[in-house]
Amino acid sequence: MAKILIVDDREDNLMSISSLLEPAGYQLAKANSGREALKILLIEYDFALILMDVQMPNLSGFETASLIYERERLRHIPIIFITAHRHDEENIFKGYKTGAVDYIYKPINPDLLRAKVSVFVELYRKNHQLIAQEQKLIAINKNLENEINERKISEEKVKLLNLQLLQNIDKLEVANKDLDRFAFMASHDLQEPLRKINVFSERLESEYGKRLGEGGKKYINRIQNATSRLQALIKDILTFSKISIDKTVFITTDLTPLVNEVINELDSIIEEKKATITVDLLPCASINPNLMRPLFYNLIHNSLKYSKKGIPPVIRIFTESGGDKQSKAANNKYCRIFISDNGIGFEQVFSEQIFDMFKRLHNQNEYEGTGIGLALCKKIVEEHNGYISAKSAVGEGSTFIVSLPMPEVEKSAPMKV
Amino acid sequence: MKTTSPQFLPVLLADDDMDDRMLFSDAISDSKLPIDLQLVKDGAELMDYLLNSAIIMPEVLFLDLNMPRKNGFECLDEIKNHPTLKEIFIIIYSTTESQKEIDDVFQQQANLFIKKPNSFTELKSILSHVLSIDLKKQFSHQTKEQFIFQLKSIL
Repeated sequence: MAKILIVDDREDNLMSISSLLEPAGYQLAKANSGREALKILLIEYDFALILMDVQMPNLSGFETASLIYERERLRHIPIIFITAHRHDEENIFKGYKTGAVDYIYKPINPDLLRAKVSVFVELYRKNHQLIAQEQKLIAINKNLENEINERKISEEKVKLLNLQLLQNIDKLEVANKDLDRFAFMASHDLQEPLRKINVFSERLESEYGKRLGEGGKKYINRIQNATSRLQALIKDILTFSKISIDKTVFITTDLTPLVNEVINELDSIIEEKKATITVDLLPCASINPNLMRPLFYNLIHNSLKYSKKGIPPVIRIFTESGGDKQSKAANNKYCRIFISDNGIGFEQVFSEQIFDMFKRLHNQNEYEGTGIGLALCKKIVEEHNGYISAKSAVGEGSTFIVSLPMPEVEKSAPMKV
Repeated sequence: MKTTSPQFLPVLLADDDMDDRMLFSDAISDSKLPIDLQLVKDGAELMDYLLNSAIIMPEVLFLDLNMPRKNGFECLDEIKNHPTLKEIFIIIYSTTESQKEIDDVFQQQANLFIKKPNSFTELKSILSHVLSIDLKKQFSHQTKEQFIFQLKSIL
């Protein structure tokens, strides 16, 4: 409710103005002198309007007004002067100079008074609304600023964490490379004494074999077998550790001739086992041929090695046959190459473990091996940002699946069916 | 400098490994080839030997790479930049499998690379083959592929 201060030295004037305004519901304060008005304004300053008689003893209305407007807090309160001097130009000028905004002349016209008061009260109300809105806006602005600051702080945090992550990755990579370098050096140095064992046991056999007799020769044979196993193991560890030491360079390569080259290398064992190997037309992939050859060598060699006794191995190397469009789109980013055989297979539960270093499912006497071959395959595929998996069941043959990322520039339908 | 006796080929082996020196000289003796073999134990001894005017200048040098005091790479560099020593036919005789090291010695103009074999029989076949032919004729201006000696491709 709007508050109005009425200042007049005459009680009857105060009464009559009050009675005119009270019905409109204003909250009225009355002062019968300029001094009294100033006293009230010391405590209350939220008036919408002051109605001020000009002619008062001691402090006139103008003097009171200029004292009021000396105070910063009260400067915004409009003052309407009430005066009898309708034509007193000098006084009107004085009034405006002190900051008054309007005049009402005596005798007071009640309608005019009510109208003017309501205009000023309305102005006051709107003003207050604006001030409230402005304060709201300031508060919203402040919130926004706080939010921005918080965001900046969390962004900094994310940046810092990212940096730490990158540093950790770097450290891990360095540690991994160190480990591989260690494996490389260790296996290289281990090869030397092994070579000596081989050479000297060979000389022992050829130069002193007669004196050693059959028993002695048997022991030498065992030494040589153990030595070649150890040599194979060290050679595999060397190959394994070299993968990450050597810089990998990817070349878009047609896999079909590459796989056929590998099969040629396996000629003698293929002949010995009477194996049949069919190679479908394979896609091109972005690969390092020096790593891809040992990958296929190991996988095909495994298929030949783990064949059923008395049954010639049948090995098929093929790529995903171009099925419906949907599955093609889903596998667009990878090409999948399958190596399937009719060998002894293995339990599906081992399908992940077999790729672990030194993991073997068979005794050394049944099937030779170092337990590194498939770990090597996995490392090679991962070096190409691909993945490898296996499907098998005991007695049902095995299928190994190599998934490699497609070359980035892909020509339309280079893959056949 | 002594002159080479016409019937004996002067061969020098620089290897710090005692076993390898023994195997090498046994293989040479077994081959019955007319060879005058000298042995040195490291790179420093090799350079001292070669720069001594009293010796018979070897025609073929078997050079190990990993040796104390002065390694094979340093010796190779010194020999191939020497006005008279550069004529020696240098065979790198090492176990290295590092392609980078093999590339390096090829660049440094070593003449042939022989990987130390895994068996004495193989060593004998390699040496009796290599030391019975005219090396300079057989292995001049060879490519990087021919640089690495393969017994299989000869037999």
